[in-house]
Amino acid sequence: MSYTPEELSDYLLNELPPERHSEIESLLQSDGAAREELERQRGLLKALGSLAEAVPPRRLSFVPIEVAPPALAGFRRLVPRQLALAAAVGLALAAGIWASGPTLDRHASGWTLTFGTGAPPAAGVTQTQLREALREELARGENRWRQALLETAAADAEWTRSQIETLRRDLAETHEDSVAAYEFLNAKHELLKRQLLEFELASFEEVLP
Amino acid sequence: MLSSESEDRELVVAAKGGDLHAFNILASRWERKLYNYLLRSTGNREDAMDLCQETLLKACRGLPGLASAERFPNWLFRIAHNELASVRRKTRPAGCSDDLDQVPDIASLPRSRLGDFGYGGPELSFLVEQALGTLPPDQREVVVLKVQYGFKFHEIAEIVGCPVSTAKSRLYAALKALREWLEPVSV
Repeated sequence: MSYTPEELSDYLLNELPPERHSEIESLLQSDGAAREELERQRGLLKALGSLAEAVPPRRLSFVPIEVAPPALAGFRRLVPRQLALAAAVGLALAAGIWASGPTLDRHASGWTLTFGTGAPPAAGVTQTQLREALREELARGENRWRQALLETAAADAEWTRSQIETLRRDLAETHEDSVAAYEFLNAKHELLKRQLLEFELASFEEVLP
Repeated sequence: MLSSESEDRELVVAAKGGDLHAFNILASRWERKLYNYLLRSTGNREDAMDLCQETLLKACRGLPGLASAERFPNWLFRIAHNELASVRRKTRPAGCSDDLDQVPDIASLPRSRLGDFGYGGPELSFLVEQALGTLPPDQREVVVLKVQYGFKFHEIAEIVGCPVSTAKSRLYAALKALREWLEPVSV
């Protein structure tokens, strides 16, 4: 029975069909040259298997990209646009009616509702005072909104700052790891170069008379 | 394969369903092998790392399209091979090499004396690395996939995109060349 060196490689790599694998096994028991060739191939594969695995210089990791939603986004989603518009119009109408000073009087013929030009406001409260009170109320409301917005913006800024700080810390740690790994590999590299140089020098000395 | 296949399969299924954490675990299990495959193919650490990153990114995006979780390793290395081929097609400026290329060429060593030097462990690993570097890229690639990572010939053919017979002949040619260089050392 004959064989090829490639078949012996396939035998070692477990790539032969089962029948041929058995045939080669029987052959190896009786053929010394085949056994010798097999051992040489085994030695080569062992040498190839001795290769050290390099460590990647940095770890890879995937993160989902999440954009922080605007502060009012949730509220906007909850309230449909048309409903918000209707509420705003209603509010404006109510404010207008209230600002015009409506009065409700009872007469013998029934009830009368008048706006602005009707009966004067209650004693001691003038139109000017009412306008002033309304202006103050609006200013207070505006201030409250401004304050709320400022607080939201401050919270967002704080969150962003903490994220940046975390990323900075990670980056610094990664950098330190990289520097340490580089120094180690560099030292190893230098050592190997020196060993090779020494070996070459030793070879030259042997060759020279 | 080197990784536990059943665990990989579960992770692939979870990652296919959009579980990014599962994909990150999967990536951490395979990135070292990918990196080494790419490093031995390019000989440049930065290029290997960039290609590794690109491969994993493409795998992350393309994973929902992977038909069978069992085929994940072949599929992943196929992506890496394509990335590698894409880089090889682009001409690289001369002199753009890193310190791996600056190590003395094994051809400059007196071969007849290698066997007497008593190489073993790191020295042998170093010499094997150098001997691998003398092979043509397509042969080197097949050696790494077969001997280091244990892919079957039909899987290598799928990864590299060639007939099984070509994958085999590349390996045999590479082993023959390596044997000429390394036999005095390893035997």
